[in-house]
Amino acid sequence: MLTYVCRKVMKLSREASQACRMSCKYAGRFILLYTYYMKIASGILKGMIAALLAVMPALAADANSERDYEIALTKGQYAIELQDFATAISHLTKALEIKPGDQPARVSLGIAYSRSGDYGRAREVLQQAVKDDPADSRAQYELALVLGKLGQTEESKRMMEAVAKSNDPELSAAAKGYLEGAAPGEKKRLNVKLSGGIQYDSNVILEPDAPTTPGVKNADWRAVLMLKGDYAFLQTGRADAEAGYAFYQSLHNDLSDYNVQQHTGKMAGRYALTQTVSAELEYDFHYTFVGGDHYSTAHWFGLRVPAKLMAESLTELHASYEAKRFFDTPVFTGLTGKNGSNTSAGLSHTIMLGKKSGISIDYTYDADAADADYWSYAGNKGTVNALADWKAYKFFGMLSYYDRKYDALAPGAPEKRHDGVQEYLIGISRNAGKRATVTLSDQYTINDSNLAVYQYTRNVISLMVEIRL
Amino acid sequence: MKIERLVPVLCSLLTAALVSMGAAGSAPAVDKAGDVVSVRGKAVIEGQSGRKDARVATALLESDSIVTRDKSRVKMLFRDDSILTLGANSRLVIKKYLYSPESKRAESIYELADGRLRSVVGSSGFKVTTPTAFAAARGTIFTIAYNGETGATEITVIEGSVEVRNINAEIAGMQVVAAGQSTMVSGDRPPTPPAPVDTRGGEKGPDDRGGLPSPGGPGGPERHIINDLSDQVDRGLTLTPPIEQEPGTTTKVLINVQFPQ
Repeated sequence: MLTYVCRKVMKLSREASQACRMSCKYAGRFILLYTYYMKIASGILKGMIAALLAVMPALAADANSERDYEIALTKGQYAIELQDFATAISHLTKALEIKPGDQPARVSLGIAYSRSGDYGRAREVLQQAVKDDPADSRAQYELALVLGKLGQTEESKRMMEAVAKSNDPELSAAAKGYLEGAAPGEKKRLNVKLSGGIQYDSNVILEPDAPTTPGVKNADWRAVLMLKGDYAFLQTGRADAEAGYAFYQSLHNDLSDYNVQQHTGKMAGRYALTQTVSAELEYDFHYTFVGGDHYSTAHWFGLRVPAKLMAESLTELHASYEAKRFFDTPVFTGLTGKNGSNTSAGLSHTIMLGKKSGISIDYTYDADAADADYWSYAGNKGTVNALADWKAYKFFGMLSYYDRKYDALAPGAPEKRHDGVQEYLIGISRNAGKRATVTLSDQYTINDSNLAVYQYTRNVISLMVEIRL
Repeated sequence: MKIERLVPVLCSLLTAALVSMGAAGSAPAVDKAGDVVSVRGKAVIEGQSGRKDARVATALLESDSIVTRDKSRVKMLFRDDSILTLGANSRLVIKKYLYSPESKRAESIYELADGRLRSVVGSSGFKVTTPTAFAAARGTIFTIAYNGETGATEITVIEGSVEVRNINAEIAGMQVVAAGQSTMVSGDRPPTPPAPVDTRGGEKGPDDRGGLPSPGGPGGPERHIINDLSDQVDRGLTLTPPIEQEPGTTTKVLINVQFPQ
């Protein structure tokens, strides 16, 4: 019995073991199959997800591409109007990335580079724009401007002449204006100007407001002639140098002892330190006669550092040194005490107000060191100049205040001299043809001083004609 | 004339110049909805502060009306990056403009009282009404034109889709107009079923300069004003004698004077 039970148990256990082995075998196969299945499914799923992920941005980008392009283009073009060229370049580059080769975006980008002063990149972009669309007059116009800036004047002129013949009236007018010399960047080697006119001067002799000798004639008419010529003997993209001569002659109707003749020789050079900053050096030699007698000789050295920190403005540091020597004449005596030097330094800032007007503000400090210390002074001068174009007219104005404190007591004076000079100028110019300009102006000067003998007022009304030869 | 009388005048002129410079460079930031980015021809903005010419960088406020004349066009960029271009002889009123700087989104309602408008809509809620139609859009480019004579509004979608219904909400029937389709709403009728229309290249409006700044714009030839101002000192040389001169009572002079008879 026990043996039977044992056999049965053994048989059952063998069967169970076999079943277990079979189960394990099938379970293993199932797990293997499941693993393979999962691997395949996972692979397919991964592939699908990857494909979807790859497609979705493209779909999204495609869905919004036109909108994003228009937003980037509009923002870029608006930034040009606002003169924020870095922002403009960023937006327009994005617009070009969305629509590679798009002509409005490319031309706008070229304009942004050009107006930011990066003429190299501007030329590259605009040359591509002209190559892609040779009929695009705007691209040609902008490229011509850039070539002019880079000193390629012949190529610039040739291209601008083609633009001047375009059907776009605005563009054609701008190109003609450029060819007539309105645009900067294209300089002639020889510039000669002849100015002449008449003036009424209310106080030629600077008679004090309270004259010591009443009844002295101090007002007079005079004719004025000025000839000015400059020759640029060096013109490269980065450096210019020129020599010049100026002649000034005034002829009074009655007060001929006050006729002034001045000869000025000039040497000047400019070097572009960067795209936006340059340094200019100038030396002037003045030789002056008054009433036909040698009155003074002066050597003037000037340094200017203009910087275009923003597109529509100019900031300028300036300094000068002048060595002066005066000569007594039968009319003017006691001048030699004024021999000495004048040193000045200042800062000016000029900005455009809109497209056709501008304003400049200047501050200058100067110190005059004369042989007679009562002629030496320290001065502070503030000047505001304004200019506005309207059709063929140019309106201009200037006001300044010049405070001068003299160093020492003059013989016989009750106290040290302290002057405050106010100057006001208004005028209007009109072009008379391409080469002439007629100017009418009025300049009013008030010299206010703590010493009554130095207090005077002076009004000069001028009608001048300038001819550019 | 004494200095005491002239110094205030000088100071006033300088102050006025500086204030005007500051005013020229600033724009009202509060409640600004957007800016005018380009103007062609003649357009005016009528707002709470009165009526003024539309110029580049003029700020646009809620409740402003923008009116264009014949052969004119105004392009506006709003804070939510929506770009609206108003065609000739059109009137657009900014009825509502609520902008969230945090989310950079806006809820805006414009009323096109007359004329033609092209809209590039950002991701904000954007609604336009005309006397006959109501259109709601998000992330689209479409044009909407209202003809005052016929009382009909035509809506053409260039990109995305626009929901359109009659301005009278009680008139049943709304159409979803997809890209390349157009619908018409007039009178008391619901929108017509969207019909295919060719939008390729013909829907950019009268933008004949491609949005490029004027050739005489910033940095253009008119920059000569700055050079002219620099030259103004030279011009001054011809106006007064170029000599250092002192009043005659201190530098004794003999003058050949001819007294009047």
